[in-house]
Amino acid sequence: MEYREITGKKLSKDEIALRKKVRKEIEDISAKTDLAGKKIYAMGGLPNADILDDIIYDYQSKIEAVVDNNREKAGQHIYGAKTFSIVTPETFWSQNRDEVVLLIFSFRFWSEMREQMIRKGYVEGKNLFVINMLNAEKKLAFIKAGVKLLQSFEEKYGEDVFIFLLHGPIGDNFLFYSFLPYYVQRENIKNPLCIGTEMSGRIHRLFGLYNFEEVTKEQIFSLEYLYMFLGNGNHKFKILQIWEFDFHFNRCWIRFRPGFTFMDTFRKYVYALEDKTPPLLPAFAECDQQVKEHFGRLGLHPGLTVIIAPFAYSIVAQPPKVFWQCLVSCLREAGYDVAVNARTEYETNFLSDVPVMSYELSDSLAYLEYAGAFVSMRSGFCDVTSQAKCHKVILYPEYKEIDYERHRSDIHFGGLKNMGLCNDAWELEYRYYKGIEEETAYWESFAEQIVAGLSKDNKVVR
Amino acid sequence: MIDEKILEGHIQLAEKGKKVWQEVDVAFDADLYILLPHVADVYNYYALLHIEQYLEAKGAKKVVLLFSEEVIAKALPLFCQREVLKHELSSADIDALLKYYALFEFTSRLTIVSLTRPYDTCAENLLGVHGVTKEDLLCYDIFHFTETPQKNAPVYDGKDKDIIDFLALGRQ
Repeated sequence: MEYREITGKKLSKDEIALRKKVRKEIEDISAKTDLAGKKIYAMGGLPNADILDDIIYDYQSKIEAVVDNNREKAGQHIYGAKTFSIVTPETFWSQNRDEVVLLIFSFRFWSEMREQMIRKGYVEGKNLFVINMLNAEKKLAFIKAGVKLLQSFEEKYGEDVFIFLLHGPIGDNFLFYSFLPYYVQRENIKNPLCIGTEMSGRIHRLFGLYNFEEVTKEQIFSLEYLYMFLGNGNHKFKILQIWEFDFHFNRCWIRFRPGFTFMDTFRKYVYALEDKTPPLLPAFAECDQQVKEHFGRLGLHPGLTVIIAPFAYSIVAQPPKVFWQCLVSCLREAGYDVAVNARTEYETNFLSDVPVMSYELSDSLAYLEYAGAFVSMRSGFCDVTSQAKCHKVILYPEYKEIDYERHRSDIHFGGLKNMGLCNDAWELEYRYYKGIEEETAYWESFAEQIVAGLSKDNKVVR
Repeated sequence: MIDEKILEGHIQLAEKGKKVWQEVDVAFDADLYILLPHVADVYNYYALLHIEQYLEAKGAKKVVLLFSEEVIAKALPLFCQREVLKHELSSADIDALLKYYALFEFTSRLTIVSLTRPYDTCAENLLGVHGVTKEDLLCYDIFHFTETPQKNAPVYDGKDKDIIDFLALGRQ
């Protein structure tokens, strides 16, 4: 079950580039196959099926159904404004092969799906196509580009440069940097260079450590594929996010076993540091006139403002919009002002009557502390602001089972207290099951619970 | 730092690996291949210890074990009652096959019993953390179980030193 309401996320440059690539592949396929004359099936996640459905619409076609090896998923599924049928492989195989085309579009499972269908007699290039397939030639092109990239850094920074590749969500980047100096010191690295995304760059500016170069997603793939291909040896680069799906086998599962927290992933798995090595924290800016004026312009009162942060991309089951709307209403009824924490360049505020607050990470503690309270989905932003001296209410989906393949979002694994990041957060679990997004009464009650707790503990003087 | 000449060596090895794979897959056309690239390694022991459960989880009917040390073939019957085909490869062929697989995922039917070859997954950084053992790493990270099943070591009353030494790996 997935809540889809709260993405509010605009397409990133990478997502736009991917769609363009897929469109080109569909164009090539349509030159060989009459898409309008066939029943088109997709295999892969619904987001990818949705992309395909949008694109093949231009060829007077649509996705008939999505084939899924998980038989429990068979049935109708809503995705955005569409409804997709999910069918079992057996249902798909019962179709006349001359009348169907299967488009496999899955970043993680394309190889397994492709082989499954080839072994069932489907013919690649005829009734079977793998979208965005990473074949040997493509991987080699990436790898060669990776070599050139490393050489360029060596030319710029010196032969003794040691490169750390980091990317991923904001919290991951924050925790990578928090422990990196220990590793650099232990390994006696004289000339470290961090390379990463624009997000990594924001965290780099916060810590102010080492040199940094921003790289593209494609360059990140290049280095990851190069690392895998070279194998073991005295390479002068380290991939920090070694659990990415780009590493196509033996990805680490044990780090999610009960007893582990997300902090172990960084302290032990990535850097192999001693137990209880404390994360180093950056210096944040003090609250200054600029912060005060910003609050003033938005009509927000210091100490009585709750900044809410509904955006979290690692969590699949999130509260629906109605929860946040209830929360805003309840907070206002209790006398609080409300603002939404959002990066407007890629996040859309769905709470139209709530002002948006956007600020540099270095100012985040100042903003939260001046506001007085923070209610947030558990996200990487919570790692960054864990030291803020304000009321912090952090929300988690209730613990159910561990998704070893993907990630853990539950409080036991990612809780700020369990991770040792702070002891003063009020961390709450919300329920989730199929249909709960429609249960307005539950979300109203949850919102009321939060506001009651904040009001009870609020020692801030007006 | 790596240069084009060094890279070319890796590419040629991967091309050799492609040929190794094609020969193996044409010969067997199996549902699952399990490659044991290490020699005298405790992961080999744990792989055999848990192989029956792994095969059940994978639902594979035709399975081939690929290895370079003879003792694997000798010890297998002690661990597994199911029919599992065996195919010995030279170390050089195993290196080549690993290199090809490190290049790209040419099949989903290959399980590699290693956390350091063809590249270091860093999983062994977790040894000893919250009690993690190599058996745990085999079960979770290679076989993708969500627990470490309790399995007793097989009983062997014979005199084959290779088998005795192999079984001793489990007592390390």
